[in-house]
Amino acid sequence: MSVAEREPKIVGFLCNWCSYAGADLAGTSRTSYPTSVRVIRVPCSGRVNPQFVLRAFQLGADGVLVAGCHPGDCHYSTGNYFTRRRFLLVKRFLDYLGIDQRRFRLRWISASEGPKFAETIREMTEELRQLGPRDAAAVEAHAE
Amino acid sequence: MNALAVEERKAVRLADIRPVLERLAAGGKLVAPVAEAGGFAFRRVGQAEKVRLDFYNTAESPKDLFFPQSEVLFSYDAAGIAVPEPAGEQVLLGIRPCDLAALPLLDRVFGEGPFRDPGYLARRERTVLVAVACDRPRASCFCTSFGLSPGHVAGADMVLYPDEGGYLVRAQTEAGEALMAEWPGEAVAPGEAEAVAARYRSMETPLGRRIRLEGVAEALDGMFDHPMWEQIAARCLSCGICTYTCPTCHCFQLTDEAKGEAGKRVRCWDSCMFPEFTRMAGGHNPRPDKKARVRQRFMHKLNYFVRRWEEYLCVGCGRCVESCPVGLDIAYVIEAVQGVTARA
Amino acid sequence: MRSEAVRAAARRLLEEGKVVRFLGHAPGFDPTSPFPQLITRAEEAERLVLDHFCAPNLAKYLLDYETQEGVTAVVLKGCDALGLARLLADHRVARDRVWVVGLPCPGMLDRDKAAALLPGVQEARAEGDEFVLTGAGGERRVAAGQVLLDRCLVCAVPTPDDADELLGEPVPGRPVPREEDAAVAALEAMTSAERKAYWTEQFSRCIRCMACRNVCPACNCRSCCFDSEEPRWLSRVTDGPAQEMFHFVRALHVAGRCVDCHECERVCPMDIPLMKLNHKLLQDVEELFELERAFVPREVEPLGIYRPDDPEEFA
Ligand code: SF4
Ligand code: SF4
Ligand code: SF4
Ligand code: SF4
Ligand code: SF4
Ligand code: FES
Repeated sequence: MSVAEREPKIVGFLCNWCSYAGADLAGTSRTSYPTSVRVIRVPCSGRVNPQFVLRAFQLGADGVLVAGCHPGDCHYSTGNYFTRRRFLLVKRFLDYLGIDQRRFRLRWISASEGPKFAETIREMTEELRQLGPRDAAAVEAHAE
Repeated sequence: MNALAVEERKAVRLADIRPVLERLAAGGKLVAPVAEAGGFAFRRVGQAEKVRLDFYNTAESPKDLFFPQSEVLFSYDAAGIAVPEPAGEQVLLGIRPCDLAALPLLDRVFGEGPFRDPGYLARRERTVLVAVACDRPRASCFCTSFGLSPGHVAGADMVLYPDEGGYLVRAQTEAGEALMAEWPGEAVAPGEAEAVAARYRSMETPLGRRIRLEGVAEALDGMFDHPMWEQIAARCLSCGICTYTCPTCHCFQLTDEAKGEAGKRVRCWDSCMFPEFTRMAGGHNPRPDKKARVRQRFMHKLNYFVRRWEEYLCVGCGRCVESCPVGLDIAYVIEAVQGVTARA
Repeated sequence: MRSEAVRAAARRLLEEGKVVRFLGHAPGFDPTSPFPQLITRAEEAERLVLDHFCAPNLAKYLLDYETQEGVTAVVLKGCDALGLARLLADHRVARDRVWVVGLPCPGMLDRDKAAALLPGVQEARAEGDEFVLTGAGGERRVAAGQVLLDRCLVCAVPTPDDADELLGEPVPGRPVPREEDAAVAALEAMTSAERKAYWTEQFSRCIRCMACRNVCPACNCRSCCFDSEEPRWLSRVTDGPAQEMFHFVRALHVAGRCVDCHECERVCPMDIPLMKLNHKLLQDVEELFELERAFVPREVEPLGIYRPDDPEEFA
């Protein structure tokens, strides 16, 4: 398989209380979605340090997903409001450093939204396929 | 490499150095000064046009070519241990007298005694040194305070002397002569070449006029507890600028980077100016404050090293003078020590 | 410029016992780079200077006296005072242990710009909208815009607003458009790959001396993530990923907290364009969270707070 054909790799940071349960639901309901995502469970979307996201990219992720409870529903009341502020900035900052912001997503996915989780992975995988693998983009940038 | 006697040294005059630079660059082994944001830097160069022989000294010294900021010593995985291949050959063009004089100091640390550093020695061995006599001393240069000069080129394989709008090129070793063998240029008599070299050797440097070293090492013998340290250290930012840009500083730390069953041991520069430099497991730090750290840096350079090797660990390149953001450079401290002795 | 005034203030404060130490500037080897000077006795006041080259921000040194007895007097320009405000907002310094000698700042000169305009420059004095440079090379009159530090060209707060005493009459800010924004915009106009290449090249030159962090009033953590051995958040190896991580983390840790003082960029020995990172974040913070002058420290920092109606891009 050439680099261009390989399945994109997505690292997904899912909050324990909503999005991880949502992903679980997608599984138990036998909803099919691409196998591109590697899930890391975090206590709250607010736990996701921007450093984790950059590290995932550096270690070869083509895309990174952070998912948490809907605003207002965070198990810790307000964690995801901080997450939102933080990643509004981080998304733009990653882009500014040369990591296309389409490779990063933050999504609110509740425990009952199994289909939304599956749909998010499908969409993201499709978009990343079009963008091509990140390492190839980096190699190209180097050659310039 | 074996130095040639003065009368054996071949010399040529080059009105135009470009063809030679092109030849060197084409060999793929050239490291030379190039222009970069705000100044100059030694970099590997593939195109001769990039080489800037009209440079003033670089912000970073070329010590990185021999003692890299990070160096993998070995790596391992389930299959075994791998030691990286020693570095290949390179030609370092444009090294200035101060940085050249720093190499024998590093040689003492890494190349003498029972523990020798094979990586360092291999890189030293495989580097042809083409020095350039210093036609652009900066206001911060004081190599002459250390008995060096803009024409002090001992240890170089070959020297470029800017002269009459071109260069007088002189080989000093067989390696230099070999490099020069196919170069164009009109031959110059040994006497004439020596006259040009002597002119550079007699040049003074701006700050060198001012900085006097006599008695500094001796005075420092009794100054470990002097109140001076407290006051001069107050402004230090505890950064790594002075030690990282210094051509003679050589401290390092070892780090293991492990992941699962694989990993590597890496050696990285360290600095006595960082608070963590002496922090021990358990948290005790024998150099707990800026006073202790600043004193260490200058005692090492102006006293301890002299006691051990009979040489100062400084060559007057002026980098700390240029780059320390708070003027806590070695010239300042030498004058402060002289001030204390004068008052005593 | 104000050397006599600063000496008089230091002498008076130390003699009266109002303060036990005084942080000011003293002349360096090169008169265009005065350095921070600590004095503790009135007689030492003679050493101090205050001229158009006193760029160093002294606010961060206040952390050194955190656990020591007595009040510390410190000379602060408008931008430096924002640094103190940062330390106060972060509860790193107690206001009643500091005596602020404020300089209504006429602008500080960039020594490199000055030296390029008049090699061997030794002194500068302001005359209206111009500066007169003098030195071995004679005298030269230049427009302020040619020779001021970048940060001074756009300084909004030249007079410290929280000073215990002022060395002179307050001066107004310069309400010029922020030129840095153009630098950010130019980068934003590039493709992703071009930006990646640009930053890779810039970061590769960084020697990780940590001067940018150490001088920064916003980087005032008792223990910094970059120094931690266990866990080791950042590898000491200076390869591409580690360099990128260092700059990413440093800039984000001061996002919404940076006081736009430009000290990090000024002290950097490798001329890494750190302000292009800081300004990008500053602009985004202002725009996304509808804040004005986000570089002025406030009670709660922008990333330490939220609004339920923050922009929703992640539904
Ligand atoms: S002496 Fe200067 S360059 Fe060295 S650590 Fe202190 S502030 Fe940094
Ligand atoms: S001055 Fe400090 S960093 Fe330099 S060699 Fe000595 S102990 Fe090491
Ligand atoms: S001051 Fe400059 S060289 Fe030093 S760590 Fe910061 S960016 Fe890197
Ligand atoms: S990041 Fe730079 S400009 Fe911002 S507060 Fe720190 S030193 Fe000043
Ligand atoms: S880089 Fe971050 S952890 Fe380190 S001092 Fe600055 S804000 Fe604190
Ligand atoms: S617990 Fe789900 S986002 Fe906070």
